[in-house]
Amino acid sequence: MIEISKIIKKSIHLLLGLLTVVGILGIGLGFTEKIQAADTFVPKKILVNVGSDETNVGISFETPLGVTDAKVVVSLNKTLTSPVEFLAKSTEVSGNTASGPNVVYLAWGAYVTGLTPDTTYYYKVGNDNGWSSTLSFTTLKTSGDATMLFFGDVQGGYAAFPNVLDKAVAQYPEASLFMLAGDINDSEAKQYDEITLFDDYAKTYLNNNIWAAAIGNHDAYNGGHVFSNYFYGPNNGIDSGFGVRNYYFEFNDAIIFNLDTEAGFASYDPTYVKQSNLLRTVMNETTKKYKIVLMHRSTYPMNYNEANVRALSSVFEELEIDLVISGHDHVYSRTTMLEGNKVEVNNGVTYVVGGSSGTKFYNADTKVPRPWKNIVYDDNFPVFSAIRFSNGNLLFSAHSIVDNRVSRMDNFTISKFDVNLTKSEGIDLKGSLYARNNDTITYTVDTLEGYLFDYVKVNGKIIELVDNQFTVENITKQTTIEISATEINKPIALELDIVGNLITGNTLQASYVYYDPSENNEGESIISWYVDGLKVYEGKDFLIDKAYAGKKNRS
Amino acid sequence: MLVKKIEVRVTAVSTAETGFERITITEDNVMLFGDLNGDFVVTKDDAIMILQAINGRFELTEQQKLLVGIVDKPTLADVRTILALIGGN
Repeated sequence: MIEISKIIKKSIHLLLGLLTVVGILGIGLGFTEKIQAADTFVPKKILVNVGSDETNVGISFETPLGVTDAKVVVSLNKTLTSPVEFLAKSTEVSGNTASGPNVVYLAWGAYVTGLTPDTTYYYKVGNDNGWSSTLSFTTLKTSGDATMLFFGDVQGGYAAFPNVLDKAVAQYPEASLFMLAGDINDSEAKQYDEITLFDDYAKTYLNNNIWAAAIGNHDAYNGGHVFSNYFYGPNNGIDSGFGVRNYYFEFNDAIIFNLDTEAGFASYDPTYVKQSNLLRTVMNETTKKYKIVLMHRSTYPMNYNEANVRALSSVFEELEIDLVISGHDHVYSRTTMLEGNKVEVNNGVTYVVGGSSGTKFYNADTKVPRPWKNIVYDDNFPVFSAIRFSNGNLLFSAHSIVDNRVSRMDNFTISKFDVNLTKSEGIDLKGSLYARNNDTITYTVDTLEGYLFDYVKVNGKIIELVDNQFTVENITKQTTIEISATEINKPIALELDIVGNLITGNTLQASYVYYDPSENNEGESIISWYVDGLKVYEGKDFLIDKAYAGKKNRS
Repeated sequence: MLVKKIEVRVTAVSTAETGFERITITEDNVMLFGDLNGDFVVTKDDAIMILQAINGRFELTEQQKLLVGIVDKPTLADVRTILALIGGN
């Protein structure tokens, strides 16, 4: 509750501020609510954002200026007993409003870590001068069946969005992650107002569920500070200079990269090289079955047509991304593409444009050839989608809401099988452990210290490594891959090589580094020389007889 | 061409126990000493090549120099080495 003295203080402050600015600069400027440290306040706009994996989340909230410290208190029970506290960091943010003057406020965020997956936690935010009510969230599941919901652009449709949420949750009550394709905002001129409305209408969902949102062009105004401080994502992406705007996280069978397409429009990643390189690192190192990209602008849209965004398709194909979900288009569409050609699901990268989850609808364009056109839902009704991991498959369903009734209007399944791969101790392997039929996969093999690489066998045949890599083509469920290493628990000759010129009459020597894990000195190591598989000499120095030269085949 | 490959196998032995055997195999063929033109026999043609190199008509490659044991420039002594090999055939 704001006391009368504070209201007076604030009014004087406002009046003085406005008079000063208008008088000196001759322009209007921001509204700033600043309280003294001891004043009470109520934390606003509380949101739980996905963390880097199922064991952490980011929680954000807003306070007036002047709040000097705040925290997130987390517990396993509603009464918040035995709590764990996480100090929140504040950022002063200026957000514009319809009425003109900006609101300057403190955006707080804390990474809540060390959580147990698939567990309900209770929390509150603030400090002793102002606590939120007790809220809750349930951490994501690392395994077993799991569901996430995906929403297209809300973009001003704040009053309509809760109904979409209600319908989606009624359809998929088990859903634990809520994803947005960006453009929560509509007008660049009132970012603060719009995030406030978004929060007002969807508060219960935002406070008590885990969210991930791509940043859209309507969110990126003035660097997107209002947006990026609200959706407090994991700080593992490319530094945008405007807060966390891109990041990646694990959920169940998937790794999901939240790619900032606005970075490519006169911003911090103009050709997407930085994010593409991070995407490469993340996707090449993941052991997750499904690779998903969440972003705002669309690679294969039905309304917009942006070449720089489409160019991302080559990176997605290179990394064998399974699913790209996006927005911006306000038309639901789905296609699967490979090298510019439309292919069947499971034979390329599948792109879903999530349509509109608000009230703003566009029409599919027919003037420009769009050879990628496949499934299109162009009716002016809100859409939501569900992505489910079930029995090792990725099941996608899209639904429209017509006359307050939910109808499924698209669905498909992406299936991958476990590669029949065995590796012994001492092998560090990089490369997908999952495949679609006839995939080609390149693996990188590193042998750990204390082990000696033996072989790679594909379907029983030894394959040579080239630069520590091998490639398996046309993988099926029947393909077997075996990688073996031996623990060095006895003396061994490492870095073995033949030294000397391979000319008759010359002497060759075996060069090696003797190694014994027991640290005993070298005794009489046995050095045997073979020519075309026949043993011809035993000893250190081998004289090459004339008979050992290659001979011209005169037949 | 019949390829002759040379391999060496080393079984490391410590003062206490016998260890692993390791194998490495040469990637290149064994060449015949004096066989400059690489036809796997030493003939007067190889001697003529050295004479031509002495006369400056062409330069021997490093590999060819190795095949006759030439350190710097070819000399008549190298021709005699080749002729001795032919005579020994």
